[in-house]
Amino acid sequence: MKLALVWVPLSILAAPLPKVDPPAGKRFLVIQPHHDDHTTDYGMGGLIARLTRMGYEGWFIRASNDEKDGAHGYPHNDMINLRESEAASRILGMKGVYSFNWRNDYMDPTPLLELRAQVILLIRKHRPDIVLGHDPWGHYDRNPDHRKVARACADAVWMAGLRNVHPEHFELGLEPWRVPHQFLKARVDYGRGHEANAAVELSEADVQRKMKAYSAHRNVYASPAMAKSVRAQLAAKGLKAPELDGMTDEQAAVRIEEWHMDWVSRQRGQENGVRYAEIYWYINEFAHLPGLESYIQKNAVKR
Amino acid sequence: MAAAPLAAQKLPLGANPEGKRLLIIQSHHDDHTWEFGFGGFIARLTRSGYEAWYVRTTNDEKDSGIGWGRGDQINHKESVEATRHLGIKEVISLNWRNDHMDSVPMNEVRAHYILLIRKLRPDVLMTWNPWGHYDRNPDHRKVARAAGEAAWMAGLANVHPEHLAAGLKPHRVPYVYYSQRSDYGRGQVPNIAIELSAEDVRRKEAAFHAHQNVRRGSPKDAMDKASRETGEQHGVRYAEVFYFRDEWSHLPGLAPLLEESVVKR
Repeated sequence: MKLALVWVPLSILAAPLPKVDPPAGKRFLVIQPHHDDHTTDYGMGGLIARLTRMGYEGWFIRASNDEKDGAHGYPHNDMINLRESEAASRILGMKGVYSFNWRNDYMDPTPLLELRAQVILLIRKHRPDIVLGHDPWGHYDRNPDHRKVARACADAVWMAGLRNVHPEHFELGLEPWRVPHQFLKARVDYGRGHEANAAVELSEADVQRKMKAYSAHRNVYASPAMAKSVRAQLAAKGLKAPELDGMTDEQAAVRIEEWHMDWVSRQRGQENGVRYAEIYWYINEFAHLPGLESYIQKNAVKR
Repeated sequence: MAAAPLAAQKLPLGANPEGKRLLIIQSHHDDHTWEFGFGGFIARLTRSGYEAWYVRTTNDEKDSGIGWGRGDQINHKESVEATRHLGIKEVISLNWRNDHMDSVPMNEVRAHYILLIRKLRPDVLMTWNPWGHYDRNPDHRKVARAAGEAAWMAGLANVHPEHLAAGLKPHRVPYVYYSQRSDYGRGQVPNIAIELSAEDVRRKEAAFHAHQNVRRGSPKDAMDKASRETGEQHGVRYAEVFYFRDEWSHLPGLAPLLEESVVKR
């Protein structure tokens, strides 16, 4: 059954991406604007589940206060979303959540230097082997909070390693720390996202945990209005989805979100020759000097 | 001379979206009436019964050789005349300082647009493309980004709740057509072509030349020629190309899944 929808394909790469296995390490940080940005369909729940399965310790930084996400008024939305973010992070095996509480959807005027300083401090405290965040090299993201956090984070990952940046941190006993690996993502549903350069394979258990973590955010997902609107749009075309028969709008919304999450993980897997995957823009320290990695591969010997 | 970045392959031809109201949000008096869009498509929609409004975000003071204040007045007047050729009802001018919009607060521009979207409740929005490459005109960049945010945020009851107290309701714009200049560097990657009739192109031409203050001396068939060239690339007589986004695109898995799983009622 073909729908008369204008279906515009997203910028999905035709050729499979190189498969990247997460490097061995001990600690990672996830730096995102919103309570749920580590559990959406564009990443990164599956990769987080895989990292904690490997023995990594992880922390989540929520930069905004998420006051706009929900129907309970600003302070309640903040509190509920934070609580659900903590629950989701636990499902993914993470240790804890930091919240900076910058004003949600208004981060465009948040001072970049102040946000960057906060991130540098936490990088120096936790000394992560991997940072996960939004991709500042991606195309425009129409969410201003994503843009601001992507940029602050990209500045912080290397500046945290410079002794001349925020030397007051050293008075606290911290040391410089440059982050060796980054996995970055961008939303593709808003328009052109990013050009991914790596596919990370996920196990079925990783995808299960990712879906559970996603649906822990009940304050914002599974909105009955969304299901109602999908049903109304189908009805206007004389169509219905039999699988949603007998479900409340809320149940139908959960089902639609699950379709969506599962579809995305399968789709990314299919494109890359595995069952389930997430795609990222991956950068490592060696990438900073493009010739170095191949030189080392060719010339390095065991001591 | 470097070739302009043209689409290498034929794009799908878009149909008129279902709806009644069209909002065009742009930086300058003439941004809706030249070869990079949107005049022909505006004419096509108003001809099919759409009501339309045009938002001019700057004061266009730099676009003339007759002084800033006079430039603002004359460009505004000509913009009103041009929009009449296209069947647009009204020009709303926000008068931010022309060529200086980089330092204008994003949140304030966005708030203007959210208010107007909630008041006019457009089914279709046309604006500059924030997903395109860098645009060296700072007014285009600022407007593209602020409109890109406003199109979805206007639908959130938690954003500017004071509007709701004033009797407005949230409204998310279902269809958005973006365009971008391709004459000064890498432009956009369009994903849809819109076929134009000879009448659409005639009106687009008239609107273009209504801006005599800045267009004096332009070839009489400038729009005809540009629309014909774009049409040829996409297998029709006349066309304009856009980067198109719709509500369904918001959940990438949804459209193909619905195609698999829906049946006739």
